[in-house]
Amino acid sequence: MLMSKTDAQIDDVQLVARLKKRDRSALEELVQVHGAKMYGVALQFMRNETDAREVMQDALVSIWNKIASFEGKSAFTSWIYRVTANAGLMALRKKKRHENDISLDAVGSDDDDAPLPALQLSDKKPLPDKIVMTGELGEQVRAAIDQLPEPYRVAVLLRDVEELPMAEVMQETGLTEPALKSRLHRARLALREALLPYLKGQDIQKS
Amino acid sequence: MSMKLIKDLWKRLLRPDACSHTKKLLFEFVEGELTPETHHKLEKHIGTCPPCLDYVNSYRRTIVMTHHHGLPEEPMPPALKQKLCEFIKQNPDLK
Repeated sequence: MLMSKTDAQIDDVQLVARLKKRDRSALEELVQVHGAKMYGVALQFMRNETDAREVMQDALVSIWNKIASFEGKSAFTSWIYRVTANAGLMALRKKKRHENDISLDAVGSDDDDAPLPALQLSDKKPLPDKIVMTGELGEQVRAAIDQLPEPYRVAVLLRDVEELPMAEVMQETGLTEPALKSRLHRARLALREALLPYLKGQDIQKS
Repeated sequence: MSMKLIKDLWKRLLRPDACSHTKKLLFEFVEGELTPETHHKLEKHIGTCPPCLDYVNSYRRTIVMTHHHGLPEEPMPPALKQKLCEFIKQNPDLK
């Protein structure tokens, strides 16, 4: 049964209160209620279930340790997804698994105006509206994001998927503002190019 | 972007090569980082230039699509949920 937004918000308030009282069962409830979205965030960063699980574990520890600093200025859900995204970013740094990605050097510097290499999607033909509505579009979008070189993928995930403020993304990634903007812009252009058939039928002009 | 560069670009916005400025200022335009004056001039050009309008709209829609579809929609495996609950019960850091 679907809960109304108000009920969900009330439940989150109670969940936060229990976490602040160091009620460990509240963490289990958090997994039950918000685990799916946390898993989505972790999976998009790590690309496999095993690493995503480690990210979720790290995120749960962070939530437990930092819950006292949560003041309720933002929605609790936004906060835990940010914590999860941050755990994903930390895990990527730790892992340093760039062997399957195109390195930043290989695609040019952040000041370079050259577009990223074309992303290869399974089918770039325009989709009928009915199919677009059923989730195939989502698969294509995620496939396109997944093919971005890691530094660009991280910028897109933090800024455009999670919608973190630019200042926060700069802080998380350690990038300067011009570098982040350049990276984000190039990633968006690469995604746009890959997703053109899905953006608006056949009428969209290519750059 | 320096003020001088923005002013130079602004002066050239109504010239025939204004389309090139749509590309140059696209990020700042979409993020709302241009001065009101520059934003207005660029908006005026985009409103009268179908290719630029399509270009900007497709860029904006890319951002929207990325946000709405960027995360996997597959459910968390039940076994993973179980493992996380065990982790919570057994982890000494969670006291």
